[in-house]
Parts: sequence; C-alpha cells; structure tokens
Amino acid sequence: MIKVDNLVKTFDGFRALDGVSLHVTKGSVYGLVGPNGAGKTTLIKHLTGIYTPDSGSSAIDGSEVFENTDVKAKTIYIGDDLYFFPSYSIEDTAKFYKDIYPTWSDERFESLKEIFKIDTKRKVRRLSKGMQKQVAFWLGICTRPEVIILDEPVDGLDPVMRRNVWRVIVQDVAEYGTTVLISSHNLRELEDVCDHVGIMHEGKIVLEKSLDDIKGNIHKIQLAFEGGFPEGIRGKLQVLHTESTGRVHMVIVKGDSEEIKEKLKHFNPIICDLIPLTLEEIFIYELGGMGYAFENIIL
Amino acid sequence: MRSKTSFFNKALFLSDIKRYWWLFAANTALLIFCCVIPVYDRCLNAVGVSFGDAPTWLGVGIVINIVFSLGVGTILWTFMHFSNSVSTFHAFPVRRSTIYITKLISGFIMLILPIVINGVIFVLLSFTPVCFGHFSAYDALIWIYRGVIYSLIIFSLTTFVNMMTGNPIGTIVFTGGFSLLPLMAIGFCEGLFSQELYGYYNNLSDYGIDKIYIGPQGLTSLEYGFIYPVASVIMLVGAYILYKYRRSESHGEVISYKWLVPVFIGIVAAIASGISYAYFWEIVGIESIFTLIPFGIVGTAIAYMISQKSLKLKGSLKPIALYIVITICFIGAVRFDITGFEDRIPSIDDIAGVSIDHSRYYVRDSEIKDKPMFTDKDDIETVIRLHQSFIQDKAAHENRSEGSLPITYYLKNGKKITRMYLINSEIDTAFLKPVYETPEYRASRFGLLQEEDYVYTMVEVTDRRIGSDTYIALYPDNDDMQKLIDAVKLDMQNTSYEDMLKNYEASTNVYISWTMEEKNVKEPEDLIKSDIYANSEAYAVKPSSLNTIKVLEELGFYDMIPRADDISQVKMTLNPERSGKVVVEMTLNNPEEIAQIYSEYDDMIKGYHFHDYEGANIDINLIYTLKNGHQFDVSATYDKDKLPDTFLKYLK
Repeated sequence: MIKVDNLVKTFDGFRALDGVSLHVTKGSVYGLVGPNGAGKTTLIKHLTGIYTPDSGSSAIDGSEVFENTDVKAKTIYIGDDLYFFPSYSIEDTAKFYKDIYPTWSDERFESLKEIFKIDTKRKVRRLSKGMQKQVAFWLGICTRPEVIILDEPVDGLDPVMRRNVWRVIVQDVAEYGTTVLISSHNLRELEDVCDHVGIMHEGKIVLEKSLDDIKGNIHKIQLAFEGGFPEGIRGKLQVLHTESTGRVHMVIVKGDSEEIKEKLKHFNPIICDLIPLTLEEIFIYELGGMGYAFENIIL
Repeated sequence: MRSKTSFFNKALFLSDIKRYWWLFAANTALLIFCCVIPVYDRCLNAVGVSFGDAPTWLGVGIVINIVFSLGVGTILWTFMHFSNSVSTFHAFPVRRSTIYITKLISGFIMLILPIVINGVIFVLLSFTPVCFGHFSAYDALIWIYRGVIYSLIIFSLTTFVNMMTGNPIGTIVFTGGFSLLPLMAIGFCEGLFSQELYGYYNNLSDYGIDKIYIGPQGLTSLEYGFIYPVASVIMLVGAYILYKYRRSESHGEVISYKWLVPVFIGIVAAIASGISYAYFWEIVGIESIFTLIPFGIVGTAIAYMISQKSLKLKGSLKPIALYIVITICFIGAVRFDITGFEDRIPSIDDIAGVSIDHSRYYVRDSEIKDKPMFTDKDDIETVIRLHQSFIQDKAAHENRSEGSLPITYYLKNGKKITRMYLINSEIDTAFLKPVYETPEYRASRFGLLQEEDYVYTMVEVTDRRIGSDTYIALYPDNDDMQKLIDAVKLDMQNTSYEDMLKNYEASTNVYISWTMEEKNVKEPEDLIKSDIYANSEAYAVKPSSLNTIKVLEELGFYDMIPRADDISQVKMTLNPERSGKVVVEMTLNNPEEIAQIYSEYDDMIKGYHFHDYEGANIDINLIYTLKNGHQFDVSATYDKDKLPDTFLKYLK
C-alpha cells in the first residue's frame, strides 16, 4: 500500500533522507521508530505530499503522492504540530473537511461524538493541545481514509483518551482494512498496536520486519556458569550486549532461539533462560549495535 | 461533484472569505468614508467635482486600494510561512494550482468588490439631483477601473513577492523594496553617472520611469493603459510557477529559493552602494566613485546574514570579496569609460536629425516634442562641431554657470543619443550662435512663434514691484491684446544670441503671460485631451524687448511702477567676494540716498536685473519698502572694477 523507494532529501547539504526504502502492506499497522533527527517526520512529509524528494519515489497504492489528489483524498495525516483555521469551530472545520474529502461520513462524525465528547460549537484554536489532537483524530477518521499517517499521534493526550484513540484506529483497521503508519517515540504503545516495525537511523531504514520476526530474532538470555563468563561465547554467537551481576550474566543475542540454545549447551551453563524482549529493548540494542548512544532515547 | 482538473475549490474559497471578511468590510467602509461621502459633499456644496483629471482629493482612494492590496496579498499566503499551516494545506487533496487560483479569486473578490460597490453608489449618485451635472456614470466607471487596476498591480506584486520569501515581514518589506527598486536604481544611476561621466544627461523619462509609476490619468491612456494589466498577468503567472515549485520546507526563510539568495545579496549590495555614494557626496562632501564601497560592504554582509538568518559574519567573506571585485570592475569601467560614452558622436550618415533642447518644452504639440529640431545636413554638422568642441575642451566646460545645453541625436535606426554640457560662451559662440539664431530654435524656445491653431483668451502683465493687486489683464475684446502679442512676437524674432544666452527668465521683474485654447475645440474635454500643459506661457521682458516695452508704455504699465518718492526705505547688503559673508548691511531712509540708488538702475525700471557673470564678484541685494507697505527686492552682480560709485562709497 505504501512504498518508498530509495528516497533522498537534502536540507542545506544535510542528507535528511539518505536513500530510504520502506514497504507497508495494506491493512497493516506500521510503527516507524528512530532517534531524534533520524528523518521520520521528513519521510512522513513525503508520504503526505508535503515535501518533494530530491530523488527516489514515495507512492501510495502504486501512485506518487505529490500533487496527487486521488491519493491524498484517501490519506489522512495528523502531525504533531496541528493547524486549524482561526475562528473555526469544530462544526465549521467538519464542514470544511466534508467539502474537501469526498469520502466524509456525517454518520461517523455523529457517532464519534460519544467518544470525544467535545462541544462542536467550540473554537478549535481555543481548545487545549490535547483536545485539538482529539479533534484532529475525530475529523480524520470521519474522512474514512484508506491510509492514516500519524506523527507522534498521542502526545498530549491523557491515558484514557490515548486508549480511546488507539481503539478507534485499531477498529478502523479491523473493519475497513485501513493502512496505518505511525511515527512515535512511545515504543511501549507501538508494541501494542503495530504488526510491523521499521527502525530509522541517519536517514535510512536500518531494520524493517514484522514485530514477530523481530522478536523472534533477538533474545535476552540470563546465564550463569560455574566459573566466569566464557569469552568463547562471543565468537560463537552474535552478541549485541552483555551485563553481569555477580555470577549471573544477561546477554542480548541475535539469531534463531533453538540454534542459540544448542550452542550455549557447549559452555555448560548452570542457568539458561530466554526472556522476552520489549520493543524498546530491541530498539536500544539494535541501534546500540550501530553505535548510537541509546542512553539518550530511553523513555 | 468535484473535478480533478478544477482550478477552484469552494471550501478553500469560503474559508478565505469567512476568515478575512473584515478586510473586505473595512475596505468598503473606508472607500465610502474617504471617497463617496466627500464627493457627495462637494456636489452638495457645488465645489468642483471632476473625476476626469483624477484630483488629489480622490487620491486617498488610491492609497486605500494600495494598502488593502498589500494586506490581502500578504495575509492570503501566510499559510506558506508556518510549518503547521503549510503542511496542512499541502496535505489536503487539492492541487497547488487549485489552491493558487482559489486564493487569487478570494483576493480579487475582497479587493474588487468594495471598489465596485462604491462605484455603483457613484453611478447611482450621478443621477441624483444633487450630483447630476457634476459627474457622470462614465466618470464613476473610470473610477472603478482605476481602483481595480491599482489593486490588481499591487496584489499581483505582493503575491509574486510572497512566493520568494518565507515570512510575512519579508513579504511586506520586499514588496515595498520591489516597488521602490526602479526609482532607487534610476536615482542611483542618475546621481552617479551625472558626476562620473562627462556629458551624461539626467532624464528620468529616458529610463521609462513614467511607464513604471503610472498616474491615474495614464491608466486610461492608450500609451500606458496596458502596462499594469500586462505586468500583473506576468507577475501572477510568475508567482504561479514559483509556487508550483516552491519547497514547503522553505517556511520561515527570508528567501525561499536558494538560487535567489545571490540575487538578493546583489540587490541589497547595490542599494547600499548607492546610499554610500549619496551619503559621502551629500553629507560628508567627498565626491569619489570609490565611496560606493564602504556601505556596499556593510550591505553585502547584512544581506548575507539575513539570508542565513544568523548574526554571524562567518561565511560572508566570500560574497564581500565578490562584491569588491565586481564593484572595482564597475568603477574601472566608469572611470576609464570603456564603453566610449564620453567621446561618442554618431556618424553623420547615421543621424536622421538633431535637437539641442531635449524636452523642447515650449513645443505645444506633444507629438512633435520628441522629434528632431534640425534635419538639414548643414545644421546637423553645425551641432556636431559644437559637440566636438565640448568634448575637446572638457576642462573649459566644467563648473560653468552660463546654462546647460542638451544635445539629442535621432538616429536612423530609431535610437536616440542624448548628451548635456555646460556652456562656455567664449569657446562655444562660434558654433552655438548659428544654431541659436535659426527659426527652428527660436520656435522651440519661444512657443508664441510657432504656427499653430490657438486663440488667445487672456494676456496678463505682472510685476512683483507693483504687488498682487494691480496688473494689466487684456482680453480678446480689447485690441491692445493682439497689439501686445504682436510686439512680443516681434521681439522674440529679434532676440539676439547674447540675450538668448542669458537666463532672463530667472532674473526679470516683468512677465507677460497668456492663456490660449485650440481654435477648433468644441468640448472642454477635448481641450484637456489636446495638451493641458501647454495652454499657458510666459515671456520675460528684457532691455532689448523694445517693441514690447513701447506697447507697455502706451498701456501705461510703467506708470504703475513705483517712483523713488514712493519708497520709504531700502535695506542694502553688499557681499564683495561672493563668499556668503556679508560686508555691508544697512537700512537707508534718506530720500536723497534712496533716489540715488533707485536711479542707478534705469534698466531696472524696465524690469531687468543686471547680471554680469564674467569676473563677477560682488553681489548686491536691495529690499525696497514702499510707503503703501509693499516690498520687493532687486539683486545685481558686478565685477569689482565696474561697481558704480553709488555703491562704492558704502563699501569703503
């Protein structure tokens, strides 16, 4: 549904996107993660037709996005920095969206009033940032989009509203097969909703897999040995990280879990437990392996 | 039903109108208060109401048009100046061309509708008993047209400028800068070249400045009327192209396009250089082309910093170095006259004709004002010899005060070459006299001598010694009017070369002026159309105007001139070295002394101030106070050795 191919974007000599490629299948929820300055927002602004690339392509449903009204009509973009017309109420803005988006649903707008519970006569600009974000979701969902592109979507929302928003999005995916691309730093929340993840670093996608594949390929193992930590392990396995507390060692290793267990048997561990990794840990160790100071991005 | 190819989006249009309706309302209200109500008031009080010649009392309407066009043109495009708004607009399923056209339509509606509403009120008023006869519905339509065109040109300019910058302040500053740029550029060239290039002639119209800043009358003329509409279309098309390729991420930038940055720095550097030159010339008193550089460097650095949105000088050395190199090359080109400007005299084979007064002010028919005075080969050769004399003896023609002489060559290829030099009669008489004494030159200098289809409606004789209450006014029903005109014509035909060389127009007391109309004029509008600037002229009476003086004597004009015993006081100042330092300053009340001084100037009775430029070094200024309270002054300039004894005794 979304396909980015070798996209390059330069700002004053700085390559914000350095040949980035990405693929999001229809009906999936794709989490785009990466440290600050990785190029996530720049990539999203290409996917929403705001930016023009220096080279490469960004397509939705097989068509280039820039100046493509058909594609834009079925795409909704909710950025971190929202804009609403001054003096417009929610009703006015809804009417504007209705005129702009051909697939607008009045019925949905009415039904979502129950969830968002904001007086539609209120001026949007006078609402709090969190409420403005709710309005953006409300209106966006009412356009019945085929693609939803979200940049830091739940920043500023209270926990209850966060849950509501995610619920609405997931429901949309389930009911209409909507494709969602979410850029966020909140990895814990992404882990709950995403089925695919792409990690961006320095203008490139350094990892793009389904969440299951990622989790199946990187493991946290708790080990204990009679003596010290056998250094031979590093030669046999792809170790990303080690930590030791007394005789107990915690190792992050990439690879197939059965293969790893088999190899570890040769070192006669007293304890050998595989513990599931969170997306946040995967993100930290993957980027840590690339030299990124992951301490800076722990949330 | 939405069309993919539609250039109009109703939702965007309505959002503009809904958000900016107050601009429309304010524009309409201000035009009502500043144009409609004053017009009605004038009609009510039967004060002259004329839309035809675009009077200044309606000029405020033009100011309103301009201010609102700038405001609407700025505010409509502010969405491009902020990250969130530009992202939102460009993420909508609307093409840029649709956004652009829709915004233009919104702007036109907000600017033009108020003018049309006011215009319709004018039309309706023109049929009311109060206003009927004062102005017509046609006048009101012209008013609408002018307002629309002024709004269009400023709105187009603001839109065009908006596409080049990424913030609203930049839009307003650059729109102002763009508007003044031609004037500044031409003023700079005028000032610089007139100082640095020998023979350079200052004439703004040569640069087409009148085609850039067009007045209300020009808008409805065939010659200028198409310029603003065409320029507007060009700017709007240019703005569309710029918008189409504008990068959304340029919001907030001073200059939106990288390729424009050097242009911006270059323009600022050039303006700063002009200011630098003017500052050192006018304020510090240094006349040197090298004074372009100091402020030019500062301007380059500032422009660079603005373009980078940084106060750091780092990086500006390269543009500064480039500026210095370019400026040095420019200075070298001017100083060494690499284009051969100063020595250029066209070949006689290329010349279709020549004039020795560029504008030929007294030629009444505007169509022949810019045509050659001489087309005969001998006359052209005479002018060329005069021109050669100016070039060959440059030093002798600098810092002269005998007047200036523009020479314009009309070439066979349709081009013109104009030069201007200061006259040195000692050197130039041999060439200048034959030219001055031709009938063509006299006709150009004295409009009254032209064969034309004019009738005279009034002749006035004025003299500032008499005061404003008493003067001679002659009308067609008085035979003396034609008699005086014939006498003046005769004196014009007999004016000697020496008299024409002297600038009597600036030094006489007695002026004869006349007003005229075209013989075949039927409607007053036709007279206005014919040439409104050429329907009055004046002639300065000088000692050699013997025929004129004779008629004036017969008319008793000189009896009105005060005699010595009419004078109660003379205040006299003498300045022996023309240094500005007054040596003698005294007030004389003694009738004998007054009579002696007054009688010193027999010529003065005829109205002539004596000036002797050759070696003149004593200035005399006399302020006479008459017994009736009226005052007049007389100035004279003498060579020190020729100072009359009457004044010599005071100097001693």
